[in-house]
Order: sequence, then structure tokens, then C-alpha cells
Amino acid sequence: MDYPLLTSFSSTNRSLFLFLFLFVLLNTCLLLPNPGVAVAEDESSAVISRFQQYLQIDTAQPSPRYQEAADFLISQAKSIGLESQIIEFAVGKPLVLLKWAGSDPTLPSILLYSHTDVVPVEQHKWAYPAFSAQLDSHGNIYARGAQDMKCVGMQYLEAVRRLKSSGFQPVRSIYLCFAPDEEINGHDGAEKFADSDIFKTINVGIVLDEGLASPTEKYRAFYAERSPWWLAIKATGSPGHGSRLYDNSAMENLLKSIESVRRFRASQFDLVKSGLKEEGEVISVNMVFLKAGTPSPTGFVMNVQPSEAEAGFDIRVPPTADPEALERRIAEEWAPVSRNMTYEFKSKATVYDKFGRPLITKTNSNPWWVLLEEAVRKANGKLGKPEIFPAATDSRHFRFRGLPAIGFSPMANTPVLLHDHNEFLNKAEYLKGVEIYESIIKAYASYAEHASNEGTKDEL
Amino acid sequence: MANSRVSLLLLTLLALTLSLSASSPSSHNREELETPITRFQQYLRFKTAHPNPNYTAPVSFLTALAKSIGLVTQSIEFTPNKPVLLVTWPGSKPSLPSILFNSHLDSVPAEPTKWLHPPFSAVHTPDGKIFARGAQDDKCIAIQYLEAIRNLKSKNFIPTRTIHISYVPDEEIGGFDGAAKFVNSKEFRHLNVGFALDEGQASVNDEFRVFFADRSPWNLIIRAKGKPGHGSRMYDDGAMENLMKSIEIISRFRESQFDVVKAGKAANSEVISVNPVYLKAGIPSPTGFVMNMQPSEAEAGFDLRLPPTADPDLMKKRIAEEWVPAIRNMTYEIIEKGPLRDHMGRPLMTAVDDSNPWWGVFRQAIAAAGGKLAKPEILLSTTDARFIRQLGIPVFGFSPMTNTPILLHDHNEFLEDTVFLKGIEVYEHIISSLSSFEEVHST
Repeated sequence: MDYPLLTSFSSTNRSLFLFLFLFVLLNTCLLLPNPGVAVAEDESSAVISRFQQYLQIDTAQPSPRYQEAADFLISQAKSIGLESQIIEFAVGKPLVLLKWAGSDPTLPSILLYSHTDVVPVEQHKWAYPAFSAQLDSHGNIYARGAQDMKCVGMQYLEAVRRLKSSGFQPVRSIYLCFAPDEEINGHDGAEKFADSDIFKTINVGIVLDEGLASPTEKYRAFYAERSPWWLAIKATGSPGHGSRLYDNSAMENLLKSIESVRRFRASQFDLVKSGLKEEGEVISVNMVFLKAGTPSPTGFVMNVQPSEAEAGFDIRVPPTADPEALERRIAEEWAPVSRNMTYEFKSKATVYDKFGRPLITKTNSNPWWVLLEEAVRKANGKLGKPEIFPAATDSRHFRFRGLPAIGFSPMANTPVLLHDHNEFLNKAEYLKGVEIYESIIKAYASYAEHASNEGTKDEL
Repeated sequence: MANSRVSLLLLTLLALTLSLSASSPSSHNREELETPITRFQQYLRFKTAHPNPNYTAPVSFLTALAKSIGLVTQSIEFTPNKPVLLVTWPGSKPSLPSILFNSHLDSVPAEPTKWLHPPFSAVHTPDGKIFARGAQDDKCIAIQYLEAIRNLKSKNFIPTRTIHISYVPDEEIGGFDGAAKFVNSKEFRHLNVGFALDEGQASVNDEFRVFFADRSPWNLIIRAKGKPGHGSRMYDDGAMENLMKSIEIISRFRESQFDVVKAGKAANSEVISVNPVYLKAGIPSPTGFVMNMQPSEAEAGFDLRLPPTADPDLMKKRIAEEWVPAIRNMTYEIIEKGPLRDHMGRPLMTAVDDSNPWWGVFRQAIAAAGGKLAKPEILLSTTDARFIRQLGIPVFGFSPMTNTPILLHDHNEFLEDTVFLKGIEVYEHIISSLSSFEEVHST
């Protein structure tokens, strides 16, 4: 139901563009004949229109329209002239794999990775419908996925389109992968893909995946990410009447622990606030739920102190942290047996790769990193210091297998709005990003030497 | 005493056997064998636990019982299906203010799996214990009032002041549809009550306890709002952080009050208690909670109890300024479960000195019954007495249970038969003394 409406909306948009185009054409003809400007305008409006089309496909969890997205991507691949295939590692969850064959198939390939799903929206908190891809008067395009990460997926395609039409011939093969389910842990997407025979045969040497927007003029690049540990702690104690003061109640025990957790959180946050560490370099701990009390028809029984109380935390552990020390802290200080407490990990991601090394993509002595820096510079972009991604991405599935993966989304001068209301990306930033990718892909695909740390073979 | 207990036991056993073996003659037999203990047991067997208390059956039972003694009864429904039963023994000088004996019909729920005997079976064990929900809170006094009058009547005692007994619903859930409506009714005004007794609490030693005030309960709900955010992001002013700051401040206050008790400087009931009763935050998911979203709302509930000596305005100021400041994006709600001051603006306390003549009469009555009275106390929790005190009427909380563990609201609530019977005797002294006391007039 939404989709046809949105299409008609975008076609009015297109006629608006047409009108503007004619208007500009008329003016330029009258004043200073320069048809080149008009052609560029036309081309960029087509690029933006394709981005909007992708954004308009509602791929929000928990019911993403994957098939629609796959159909759209395949049609794009055909128009560019790329080989394409759809792989379903799980029923109804297609992964689109596109290929631009290189001249030297013995060299490991380049994987341009993106995910097709997006997180849900609370529509009433948005200024525009979240899947309308509304372009406002400032050139901002509003849509869920504008930053995370449909921009990157389409920018890969646009960059390849332009390189192809310019006559560029890659040495290494280039693969574009559009995978499902990143926002819900990637088990049926990146994880199965990285484990598959197809993945082995495409012999990947370097993976590019999502990064984050940068509020400054410098792009951000990520060499690692923090591992999520989802912790639930539980206190038990004797129940009692609400009027009684006594020690060792479940509530008291839980609240003591939460205070301890909060002090640790503050110490980590202080490191970030003082500028000594980046956000991704500290252990973050954020409380996500609290649960205690005896339910009643109108809410909770107000005169009984409950015998159980629980709290949940989202903990993110950087690969530089000592996981054993953290777990000891949890057992001894946050959920000590002495206070009648227990704890449980709802999920606990490893901080090591399959070879037992920290899940890190090297930045120095890594030719891919150097090539990226140079390519960004050549395209008149600036790159910040390498960072640890504060949350989780699909990169971990590739790093886990020892592959280098760099998180990079070319969005400078842009507020970080992933998962937030009114997620947007400016049209000019988007177009600039296409140029940046053109430069990167060109550099990567032309790099003919065997990189020392590319691929698992070299690592072993 | 010992002999009568043995024969009583035998009779009870006999009654039980008969009721189990035969069907029609059993009821007839049981009537013949009725004693104060069996009447207490019958009353205990009515399922008057919340949330669905049966009020009809016990009111019929009590009405029949009162009538059999020759008392006047009247049932009034201030709220449909929530009757107040009023029993009256007219005095010889009805112009004098009357004496009211109050008790509540309802009881708190029980978890049968945690009981030795079914909580509404009123099992009388060989060692004399009667197990039932309500045995202490407060069906004991309901029957004791009537049994005491029965005995006084049989001794041809004639009260000077009129005696009223009230049986009210819903005490355990705040009393709003029970005592609160009753005391504010014209029916209550017509009673012209000069002094009242309501429930007290068991005493673990041989001294009777008497309560001159309740603590007033407030429900405090605090709510925090803040920006939602991804679970991986650390930022200030989240709802959780705002809530926890408040909870920590409240916990410190709780500790400071508890420390006064621990140091022996005040009784538990003399300090302000504040206990967390619930915590609620998080985005529910099919498996529990979404673990990577920091919620935009968080709330906690507290049970707050103020002794009558505390200043409620000061407390409200502390809550508004320190516990739940608006600058931290917090809001709160105080639900006052009853009055804090009487109709004259005085703290809700009944005097326990010479300024209150009833105090002397009551104390002497206990002594006459051979009992010892402990230092008057503030009750830890709350009773219907506060509604009567609000009218400026002096009320004592009193349940004659010495050498009895405090088991109200607990599993395996029981009362010993000898304690129950002794209580009847104590009430005989109290009723005769209070109703014969002519000096004071309406306060």
C-alpha cells in the first residue's frame, strides 16, 4: 500500500526537477550559454532519484521488504552491466551479490559490503514519512537508512557506474554485496555468507563496510568495533511489608550493584569527556531495563517489598580491553554471591578472532589502509584518526576470519543520526561520497601486489 | 483451665468426626457444641481475602451471633456489596458519648502452598494453636468483642454508655470504601462516639501493646524522562541515569532513618520509612527486553510511611527539591493514603497522658484484668484508626495477644486458644470500665 503512493510522490518530485531543469536551461540559454552545467545537474538529479528509490523501499525490521530491495538492486546491476546473483542463506532473506570481473582473477578480490535492512521508526516523531525520502529546501534527504546504510550501498553502485562508463578496467575483481539482517545480529546474513563456499570462491582480500557520520569535515574510518555483552543481573531477598525497614532486601541488593555499575560507567565516560580516549576505546555500560515489583490490576502492589529485582545492561567491550578482568568485576562487584545476586549473559560476543587474536584490522603496515587514506585525499576529502566503532557491524564476521575490514561511510559535516528520529543525509554530501568511492575503488582495484595481510592464506 | 482445654479439644474432635461421618445430624450436633473457640473458627473459615473478599457470609454470621446475644444490628452499604455491620448494646445513659469497638472484615491473601494447614480451614492443633489467615489480623478481636459482651450480659452487667461494635470492609486495601466512608456518614455522627478501640498488634512478651498513632502511608511514584539512545552510546541525562540519581538520594535518606533505628535512638515506627516496591523501565521484546536500546522513560515506586510527628510539608519539599527535581526531567506523584492531620489541624495522635481521661480508664482496666501494659507505641503500618482520629476522637490500637509471634500478613498466621480466651476476659474489663466511666463528655 505504501509503495505505490511513494512512487507517485517521487514522480512529482521528478517533474519538479524537470521544471527546474527547464528553468535553469532557459536562464543559462538566455544569459550565458553553458549546456555542461545543465547536463551535470541532470545527472546528479538522476543519482539522487535512484538513492531516493532505494530509501523508499521499507526494509525496516521486523518485516523488511527484502524482495523489493533485491529486485531494485538487480535492475540497477543490469543497467550498469554487472553480473548478479541472489543467494538465500535463509528463506525470504535474499543476499544480492554483484560482480565486476577484474583482469587478474588470481588476485584476491575487493568486497564492497552493505546491509539492506534498517531499524524501525516511530513515525510520529518524524517530520516527514520515514520512507518518503523527502528532499527539503536545504537539500537534506530524510529517510530511515539515509545514513545506516542505504547511502553506502547506492554510492558503491553509482561509483561503479561512473568508473564503468569512464572506461576504467579493474585489475582485481570487485564484488558488491547487499546482505540482510545486520540490524538483528546478521546470523542469516553476513555470518552465513562469510561461512559459505561462495565466499571462499570469491577469495576476498579486503572488505569495506559501514562507518559513521562525522559532524566535522573529516571522514571517519574504523579498524575495529566493540563487542556487545548483554548482561542481566538479578537480586533475591526476603519479601516484606512496605512499611518495614530491613537489610538485604532484593531491591537494596540490586540498587547497590547498580550504584557500583554506575560508578564504573562514570569512570569510563570521564575518559571520553576529558578527551583521553575516544568513545570506541572505553568499555561502555548502559542500563537498558529494570524489572521489579508485584504486578496489580492498576500497576504494582505498593505495600510489598518484592523478593526479586532485575536490571539489564548493554556493555560494549573494545578489543583492547581485558575481557577476563571485566568478567571478574561482574562476578565480584556487580553481581556478588555475597549479596544474593546472580548474573546471566543474554548475549556475549567474542573479542578475539578465530586465531585467538584481538578482532582488529591493522592500520599501520596495512596497504589497504594506506590506499584508502590516499584515495580519500586525492578526492579532496580529509580522513580522521582510525577509530574503534562504538557499536557492532557485520565487519566482525569478516574480521573473525582474519580478513581486513574497514568501516567507512563518507558522510562529513553530518550529525550522527543512525537509529534516531529524522535520520537524513545532505544531497551534496551524498554526491561527494560517490566521488570518494570512485577514488577508493579505482585505487583498490588497481592495486596489483599481493598485500601482506590480505586474506586468510597469508595470515596463516 | 487445663482440664477445660482437654475437654474442649475432645469435643472439637468429636464434632469433626461427626461432621465427617454423618451428614444431616452433624449441624445440629455442632450447634450444641458451640463455644467461643468454635465460633472463632467459624468466623475464620469465611474467605475474606483480597482481591475477592466474601463479605455477605461473615456479615450474616455476625448478625446472627449478635442477635443471639440480644444485641441490635444494622447493616449499611456505603459502597455496593461492601457492607458495614453495626452492632449496638444500648447504655442506660444514651446521652453520654458512646464507646466504639472497631474491626475489619477483610484479610490479606495467603499462599496456601507455604502454609502447614489450609489458610481458611482454621485448624485447631493439639498444642492449642488455631491456624488461619485473619487469626491475628483481626478476626480475633471481632469475636472477642461479642464474647465479652455475652459474658457481661450473663453477669447482668448494664452499661452506662452505649457500646457499639463496627465491622468494616476493605481495611487491607486502604479503607476508602470502608472506614473512611463510615466515619464521615450521618450514621456515624448519630453514634456520638467519645472513644474508640481498633486493632493493635501481637506482643512477643507478656506485656500488652497499645498504639496511640499510625504512620501515614504515601505511595510515591517517580518518573524520569530522557533521550532514548542506542545501547552502545554513553550520554548524559538519559532517563535511566536521571532515575538512578533519584533512587540513590532516596536510598541515602532511607539509610539515615534506618541508622537511627539501628542505633536504638528510635523505634522502627518513629522514623520515616521509604522502601522501593517496584522498578519499571525498558522496551519489552518477545524474549524479555530489547538489550540495545536505552529507554526514554523509567519509573520507580516507593512505600513511604510518615509518623505523625513528621512534618508532611517538609517531606513534600524534600521530594520536590532533592528527590525528584524537575531540572532532571523528573516528575512524581504522591498518593496520600489517608489523612495526616485531624479536623483541627493537629497531628493524628491520641494522647497517652493525663490530658486524655480515657487513657487512665483503659490502663486501669488492663491492670484489673491482671495484664501488664507496654509503653504506648506508634504502629509501624496503618489501620482504620486514622479515619476516626481525624475526627478528633481518641482511639487506641489494641489486640490482646501476649506471648504471640507477630504473624499478620505472614504465612502460618495463628493464635493460641488460651490467648484468645484470655483476650475475652480482658475485653470484659475494658468494656465494663469504659462504659461505666461517666466523667468526660464529647471531646
